[in-house]
This record gives sequence, C-alpha cells and structure tokens, in this order.
Amino acid sequence: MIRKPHLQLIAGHSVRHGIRGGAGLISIFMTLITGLILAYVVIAPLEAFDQQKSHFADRYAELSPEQNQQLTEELNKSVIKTARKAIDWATDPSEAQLKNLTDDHPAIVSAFLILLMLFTPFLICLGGFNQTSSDIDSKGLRFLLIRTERPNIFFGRFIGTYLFTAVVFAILFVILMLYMAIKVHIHAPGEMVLWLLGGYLRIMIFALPYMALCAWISCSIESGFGSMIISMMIAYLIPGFIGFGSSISSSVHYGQYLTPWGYKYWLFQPMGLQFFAGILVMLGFTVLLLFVGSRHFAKRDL
Amino acid sequence: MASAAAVTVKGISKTFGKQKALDDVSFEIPHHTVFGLLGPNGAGKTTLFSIMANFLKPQAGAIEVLGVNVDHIGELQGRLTILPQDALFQGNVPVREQLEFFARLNGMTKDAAAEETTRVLTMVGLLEAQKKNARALSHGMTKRLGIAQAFMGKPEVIVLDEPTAGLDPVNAAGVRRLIADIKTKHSATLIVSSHNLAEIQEICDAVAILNNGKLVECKSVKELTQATGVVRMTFGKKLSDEQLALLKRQAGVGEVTVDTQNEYHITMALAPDQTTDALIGNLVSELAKAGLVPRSVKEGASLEEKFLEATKSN
Repeated sequence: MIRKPHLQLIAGHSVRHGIRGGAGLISIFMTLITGLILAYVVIAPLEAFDQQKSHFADRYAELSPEQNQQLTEELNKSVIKTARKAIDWATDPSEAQLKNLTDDHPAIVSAFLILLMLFTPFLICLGGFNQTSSDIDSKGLRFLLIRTERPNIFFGRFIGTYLFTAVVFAILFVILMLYMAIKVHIHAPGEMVLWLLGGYLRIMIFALPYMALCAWISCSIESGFGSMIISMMIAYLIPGFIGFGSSISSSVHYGQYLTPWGYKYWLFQPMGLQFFAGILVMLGFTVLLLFVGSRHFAKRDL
Repeated sequence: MASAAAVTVKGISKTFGKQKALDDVSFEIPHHTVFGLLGPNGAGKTTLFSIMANFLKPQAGAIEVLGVNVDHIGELQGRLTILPQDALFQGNVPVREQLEFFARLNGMTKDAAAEETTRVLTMVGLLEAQKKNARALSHGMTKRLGIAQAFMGKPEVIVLDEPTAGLDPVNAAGVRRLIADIKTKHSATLIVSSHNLAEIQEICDAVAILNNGKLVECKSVKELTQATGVVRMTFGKKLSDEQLALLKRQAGVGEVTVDTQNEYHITMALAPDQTTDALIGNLVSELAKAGLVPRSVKEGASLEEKFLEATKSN
C-alpha cells in the first residue's frame, strides 16, 4: 500500500542524503565536468573567434562598421553551420527538426543539448545506481522495512534520487545559463536561457526511464558497484549492439525502438505529434521499468 | 483487532538454495510475555525473526503479529519493532536525524519525533552522541542505538535478535533492565534471542528451541526447568574428589554432574518418606559440617542443561 506521507519522508531523506557513501559526490562532480566540457566544445569556436577579433583589433578598426558587421555575421553563420554539423552527426535529423534546432532555437544551445543527451544515461546511472543496493547489502534497509511497506521504500527512493539528480542537472544548467549569457553573443541571452530551460526539461524527461532502470537493477543486485556497471551496460550496450547490427542488416535498425535510446531525439522535434509521442514513450518505459522493479523488490528477500 | 496470541507462527518453511533453514515451524507467543528463541548457530533463529519482520519471504506458512499477516507490515506501523542482528545504520547521517526519521515513519509528528528521540537516546545513554554520524560510533554504541530505535514509541511487540551480544557487562545488565521495564510499564511482548542461556532463563517467561530448522521445544521456562528432580548448587570453588565423594554419599543424592559454570547438578533419589525440602536442608547442613558451604542452591534443571538435551542431535 502506497502511503503518501511515507513516500514524502523517504524521498526527502533520500534527497538530503543523496551523497551517500560519496557516490552522490562523484555523480555531482561527473555531471558538472561532463556538462562543462561539452559546453566548452560547442562554445570553443566562438571563443576562438572572439580571441582572433581582439588580436586583430586594429585591423577590424580599419573596417567600416558595415563591413565589420558583415564579417561578424559571416563568422557567426559559420559557427552555426558547425553546430548544425554536430547536430546532423548526432541525430541524423529531418529538415523540420534541423530547422527547429538551428533556426527556431539558438543553434549553439541545441548542439550542447544534443551532445549532453548522448551522455545523459551515463550520468543518470552514476547518480541512480545506489538507490537501494548498498542498503540491501548492509541490511540498513531493515530499519525501514519494519516501518513501512516495500513500495513506499522503492518509489520513495526512486523519487528522492531522481529529484537529487534533477537538482544536480539544474545546477549545471544555471552555470551554463550564466556562462552562455556572458560568452555567446550570436544569440539573444533571453532566447538562450529559454531554450536551455526547455532543454533541461527534455533531458530530465529522457532521464526518467534510465532512473527507473537503475531502480530495478539496484534492487536486484546487492552491490552498488555491480549495479552501476550493469545499469550502464544495459543503457549503452543494447543500443551499441543494435547500431552494430544495423550496419550489417538494415532491419536490425528497428531494434533501437526497443529502448528509450531510440526515441531520444523525438524530444527535440518541433512541438507536434512526434514530440508528444516522445514524452509518452519515455513515460511508458518509466512505468514499465518501475513496475518490474517494484514487483521484484516486493517479492525478494531483503 | 484483538488476537488470542501476540504472535502466531504457522507452518513456516524457508529454504536458501538447497539448505532448509526452517522446516514447518509453528508456535504461538502469548501477549505480555518475554519469549526466548533459542538454538545453536544456524538453527534458524535469525531467519525466523527476519520472516517475522517481513525481511525474508517464507516458501510456506505465515506469521501473524497482533492479528496482522506480516505481509501487510505497514498496518502494524510502530506496533512491531525489531533490533536486527547485522543491520547497519546509514554511516554518514547523524544519529538523531536517523532516529527522528524512523519516528516519523512510525507515524509521529515532527515535534513528537524529536521528543521521542531525546527520550530513547537518554534511555540508552547516547544523548551526547546525538550529533555524531553513525559510522563514528563504537560497536557497543551502535548496538545501543539499535536498541533505542527498537524501543521508540509504544511498541506492542519487540523483537530483539541477540540484544546483549557485544555489550560490556554493565550495558548488558542495562539492556536486561530495559527489557524488564518495557514489559511491565508498556505491557509489551518481547521476543529475544541470545546465546547467553543464563540471561534467557533470567528474563524470559517462555522459550522455543530450534534445532536444524525444526522446533524441538516450546514451553514456559518454569515448565522446562522445574519438577525435574534436580538440585543445582554452586560452591566457592571446584570440589576436590574427596568433597565430591562426600556429596555423593549424602542420603537422597543420586547422580552428580558439573557444568561449564562449575554448577553441580544433583539428581535427587528421594526415599518414599523424604521430601525435597528435607533433602536440601539435610544436604546443606551435612556439607557445612564438612566445611563446604554452598554459595547458591536452586531447584530444577538449568536452561543450559535442557537446551543441550534438546539439541543433542546437532
């Protein structure tokens, strides 16, 4: 029986002590480092351009304001083109999606979001692997088992860990908002902040099924490390095998739709049927994985 | 819901791989008793406790606590508590915060949880360590913290898996006092396991003995140890052969054995006109004349003796 007060208590406790055994600390560190490196990768050409501009400041001064403006626009376009290429490489997008990502929204931000999405399952597994596994191993969960039903523990820990991870990602995005608002001049700051916010929500929706996968694996394996490795292997090896298989036979390509990985860029489609279908699919995978996990947790010896 | 017994164990069987840990175990624990669960290592005591607390799922059978099947343990919120044997607290969370969290899960408000935490921490002498992380506590302190969480609120059934193991004599005596207090003040039912049989005999009203996963005895301590025609005596030191021979020569004395605690178990061979009182009186006076003054005289078998007898197949 699910008890709302128990869910809130367990989730709250889990958020407060998300840094259990240092695993949370590693998760925070890795999320921030990965996010900032990716941001640097997409912003680096702009920074190089800015540096060049200041280096040849006297030459630019010789140009008329119109010429200067034209040159800047040309260079900006080339940066956006690079971002388009990055998006194109990662997503193999339709024209509509490419337009949505590079023309309708700040291309630099889109490129960052698309790249971050590739690393999201890794970061989620780092943050979510230890939902219950270590406490099953140490039998610490027994102090809770005597006081509440198992679903409250399973779902409470899931919610708590997800919220903890959402806070860590929020910190990353706030840093990026400030960084981009200062460093990136080719898009309006307001547009970038809004699109970063939209991207954050999309990333957190994409994170849900992976957090649910971690909840299931974590309650099945009495080792935090084992749980992390297996979660990551499932998250990346299955799409990897499918990708490899589709290079041999194109029909294998459809296997990607067996995991959330196959639908990830649906969340970056223009607002429409495919976008909302993408959200529904992520929620569907989450519900399915949570159902399987909670059933196992309810029946196993703890 | 009122139930006839505080705990009803019905046909519990549990297997780990090919190892049968519990085999069709059934018994009842009456309300307001201190009940001991005994057995050699690997007999199935902790497994039974773990099923009672819904940590483990049995292959067959069911356990009801206060009339509630433990599968629905949430319905017992705060009425059943346990001191698990090997469970670890969250190492990096302060002691007070963990206890307050447990109290909230027991259904207390924030203020009541804080108040109750102070009470139980004072009770086990850990108030000064309340801000310490659990990993900073010694083994004995951790044990006392476990006892504190088990005694939170007003539990009606308290399961204590080896509550005095690893405690120094002072703290062990303190735990025994707590158990007696809880039983009388809160009318709780306590279920205790321990390898210290003297302790069990001292604090328990009834015991169940498990051996190789099977229930071999379930009786009140009185039934189990008395009316067996045995008198137990201790002396200041171990008796010499001559002194032992003197003891054996006394009227009404049958077989004499000595246990590991240097306690002499005298099987009475009463004459038709001889009473137990007369035998003991005569025995004490005759031994005193020979300079052998007993330090203690108890009637009935020791629990240890009964335990060894019940588990001798092991």
